[in-house]
Amino acid sequence: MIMLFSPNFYIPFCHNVQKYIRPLLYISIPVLTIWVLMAVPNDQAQGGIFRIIYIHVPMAIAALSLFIIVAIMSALSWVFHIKVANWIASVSAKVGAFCTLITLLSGAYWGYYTWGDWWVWDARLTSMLMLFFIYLAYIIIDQAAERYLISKQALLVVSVIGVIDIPLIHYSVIWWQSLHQTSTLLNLSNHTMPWEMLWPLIASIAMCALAIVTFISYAILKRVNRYESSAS
Amino acid sequence: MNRQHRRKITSIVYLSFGLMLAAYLLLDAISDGMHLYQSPSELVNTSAGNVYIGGKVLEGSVHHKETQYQFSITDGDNTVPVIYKGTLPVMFKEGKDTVIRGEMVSGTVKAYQVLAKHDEYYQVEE
Repeated sequence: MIMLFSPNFYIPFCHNVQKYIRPLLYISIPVLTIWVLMAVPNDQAQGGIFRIIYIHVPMAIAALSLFIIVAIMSALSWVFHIKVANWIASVSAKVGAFCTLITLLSGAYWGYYTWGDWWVWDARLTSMLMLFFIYLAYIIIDQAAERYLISKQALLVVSVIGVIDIPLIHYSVIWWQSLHQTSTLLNLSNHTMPWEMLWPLIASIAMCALAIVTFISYAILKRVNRYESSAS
Repeated sequence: MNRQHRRKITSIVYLSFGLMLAAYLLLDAISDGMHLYQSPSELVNTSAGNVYIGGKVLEGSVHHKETQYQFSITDGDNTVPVIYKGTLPVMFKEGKDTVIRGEMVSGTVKAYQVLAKHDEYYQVEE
């Protein structure tokens, strides 16, 4: 576990990600995009607009799981003063905020064409908007702490609030009556989605995860360079 | 793991429990109001006021004269009539779920907005 935060591990790891995963993404993301637009069949009820799911769901999963990473990393960085944990936390917060924004925007577009309105004060939508503001608070406090060289203790409070918001987002459609539908992917045993629509969704979630890992490792390498040039 | 590490971990644990308790109390207090809409059974005895009502569009109940719509929504037990003037969302269909924002006037919902609700099931178009 400690080994993962050693520069002897993460610097070669990040270089390998750049070397092997990045070219793979340059091919697979356009192929998947064309496949989703050309070869995935339309939905019986929603028609072609349901294809928003291939951006909406991966981004929502990323937004939620990145906050867990942000919280764990900022706790590790605060308690044990691990440099790379601090870097991962601040990069993940920015990526997570971006993913939350894309989730909200793609969801608004989807809702406009299916529900009939782009925004409703539904529990799911509101709790996701809360997560976006929590991400923004995290980013602002993080940058202020970097700039004025003060402790990042306040980030722990933001992290814990965000972590509490995540089960709230997940269960909001189960606990309360809402306009947003319940999860398709967690209900696959009831044949919620046929295979020819499902596998591109799984592929797009995997691509999204790889793209985020690639981006974070790229940002880490840049910070390593900046740190080394300022130290020497 | 020295003394300072342990002190910081303890403070994170206390912070988590405190905020979790606060979140629980908050949610417990507002939980009833977090529903976006109410079912026809919950609203059948309401005679006035603004409502968010949701349920299935009763099959065979949709009538319209130009953009003046009249239909009923049901949850299986009770049925509430709705009148609406405007355009309906494309996915609004008989037998499908809908959510309506409107005003209850003597047992009838005068709708301001009609939304179509879709479920988590996807099917290949035939």
